[in-house]
Amino acid sequence: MSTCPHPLDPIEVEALASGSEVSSRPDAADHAARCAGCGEAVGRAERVGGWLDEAASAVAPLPENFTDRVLRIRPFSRAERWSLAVWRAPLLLLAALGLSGTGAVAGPVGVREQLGLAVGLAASLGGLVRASWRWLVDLRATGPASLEALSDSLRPTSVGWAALLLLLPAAVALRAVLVRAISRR
Amino acid sequence: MTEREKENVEIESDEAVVARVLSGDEDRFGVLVGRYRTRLHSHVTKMIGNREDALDLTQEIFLKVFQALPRFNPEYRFSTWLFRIAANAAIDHLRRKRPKTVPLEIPDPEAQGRVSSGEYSTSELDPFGMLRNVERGRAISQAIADLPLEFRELIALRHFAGLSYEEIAEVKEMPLGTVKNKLFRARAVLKERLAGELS
Repeated sequence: MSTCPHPLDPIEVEALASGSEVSSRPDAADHAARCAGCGEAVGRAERVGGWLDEAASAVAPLPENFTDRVLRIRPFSRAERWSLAVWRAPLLLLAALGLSGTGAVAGPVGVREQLGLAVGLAASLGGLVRASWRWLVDLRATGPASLEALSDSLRPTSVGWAALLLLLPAAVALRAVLVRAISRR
Repeated sequence: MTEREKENVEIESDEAVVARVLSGDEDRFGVLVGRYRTRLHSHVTKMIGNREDALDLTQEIFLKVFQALPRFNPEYRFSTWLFRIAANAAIDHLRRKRPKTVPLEIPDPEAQGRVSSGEYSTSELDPFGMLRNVERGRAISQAIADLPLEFRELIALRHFAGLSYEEIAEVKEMPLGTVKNKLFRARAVLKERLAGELS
């Protein structure tokens, strides 16, 4: 049991043991040098610090090939993702597949049938494009008027304000997405 | 790689290596992995308390860091940025899995005779001394595992990752005084729990 009238508190002991200044008690180092009990407490703290440092040096080592493994499984960087060198092999494979598929079909199906199929495909694609275009034109023509009518009908009611409030989370989310997209550039 | 290039790699700062990786020399990332792998693994091991998980998590952290490199701000130290990512990853891991407080160093039959975590090189000790050191190593590991997460993290950053107080303050975004105070408190708790070993 320590008989020291002004013993160092545990934090001061640890600060001294780790070689830091004890701002709460400027005479702490002198006191520990003079007082046997406090000096012993600092000594014990130093031993624990030493054990911790020894324990750190004894953590089981990583496998020898750890660095190589990380490099092997790392994802592509942005530059690599846009590099033709990375995509050359898949692109060649795709081209080869396309060519072989065309070649396989070209044998049993004659030129006339192939032209017929191509015209049929082009006609249906054209129809899809035309319908989409018409939909956009109609939307452009009727959109503002429809929104105005909706706005007029909702304005005097609380539903209108509620609808506006409902747009707030969407605006916040949109802002977050834009900020993230800009910061990634 | 020539001798000259090897020397250049050794003296290149972390930030310069990052710049080279970002400019297209992706394999140069291996230099950073080589520099920090041991300290990071040591830190992660003490944070999560499981050797196998620590290995996987260390790898995962390096992969995360590689992906996040374009967002690295060279005004800050790479080491503090790395350990901040590591600390967050370790905490996420602990949240995902229930914290394991007991398993720190399960005796591994294949590791017989190899110095393991928390054990000391004891080549000059008698069998009794060796046994005592192994037991002390386990007691230290257990005492660290039983610490509250915040204290454990600070002990791991200071003693196992080898960061300075200033670097820890940057990693944890805390004032320097607070870091020191909490670390001293953590060590005081450890000392109390290791009273049996000290006597």
